[in-house]
Amino acid sequence: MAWDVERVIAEHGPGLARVIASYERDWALREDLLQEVFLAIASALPRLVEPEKLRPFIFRIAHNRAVAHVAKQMRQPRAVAEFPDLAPDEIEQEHMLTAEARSARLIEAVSSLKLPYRQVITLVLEGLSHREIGEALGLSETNVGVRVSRAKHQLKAMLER
Amino acid sequence: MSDPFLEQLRADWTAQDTDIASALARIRRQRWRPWLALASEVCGCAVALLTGAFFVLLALRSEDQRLLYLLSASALLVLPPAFAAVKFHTRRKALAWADETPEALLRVGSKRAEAALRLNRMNSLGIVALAAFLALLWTAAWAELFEARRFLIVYTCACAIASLWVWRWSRAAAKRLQRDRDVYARLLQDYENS
Repeated sequence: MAWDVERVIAEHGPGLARVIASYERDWALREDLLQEVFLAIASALPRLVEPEKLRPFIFRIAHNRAVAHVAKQMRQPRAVAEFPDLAPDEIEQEHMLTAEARSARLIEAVSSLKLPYRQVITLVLEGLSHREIGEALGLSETNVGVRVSRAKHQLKAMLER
Repeated sequence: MSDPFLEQLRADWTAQDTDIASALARIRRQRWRPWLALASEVCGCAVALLTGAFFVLLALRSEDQRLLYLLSASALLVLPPAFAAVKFHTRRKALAWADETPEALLRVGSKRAEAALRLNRMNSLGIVALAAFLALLWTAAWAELFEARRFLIVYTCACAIASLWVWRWSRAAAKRLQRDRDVYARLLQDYENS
């Protein structure tokens, strides 16, 4: 099957960028990682024959590339660019937070999840079904369900703090 | 079944400001790069093969230098294509990001680090074997089985310098590989506990 690589990347790029944002806090490194993911997808796409498996396929590549990036970064310790922390009085007024601030808080919370939970929850937030997530991450649907439920509980605890 | 908490998270998640224009522009600029790398390898290989063929011709015409020309020709005809094939295969494997799951990728990385550590330990064994060989040579020299003390001194110094360099390099590599292995183990533990 002939894929229009640019169209696929343009269509799924924002979702991929959101997933990558949960792995890398530094803006410049995030841009580089996103570009590497796009290039990996562009070179792997001709091998995908089933169009209905496109989303699990590209998100698997993104997670694989990102996990390799995390391992590499852990080997080379550096100063971590922290997400802006919210002061307690701001947290009390959560209902008044802007969508942008809520987004930033969510990325921070998702980023602090352990990899197995981060991977499933980012795919859930991107709207993939449990079956698609299982395909992307090589898990059974039951296992996906268990991880999603644990990830949700951890996120709830973090966001309600 | 709708989950209000998840729906709220999804709304916040998709509200993220994502700008993919610059990354897209960069891959548009670089889309010819893999083809350029492949073309340069094919060209390099072709030049080596042509030079090899030229040496074959020289070997056929020359009487006294035939062996030298044949050895040069075989090296040029065999090694560059073999290296190009290995590089092509390695690049293809390196690009196959869709073949593994994230967990399997970490397991592969961990096994590679373990294997590299074992190989690294063999460098120390190589130094021991070299030292044993030198001891054998010196014993033979002391027993006056051959007369080459001056050569042995130079040879021993050269071996000592090379061994010292290999030992220091191996120690640095071992530290790096142990760090790699620990990173993979730490990440894999998260998967095992999930």
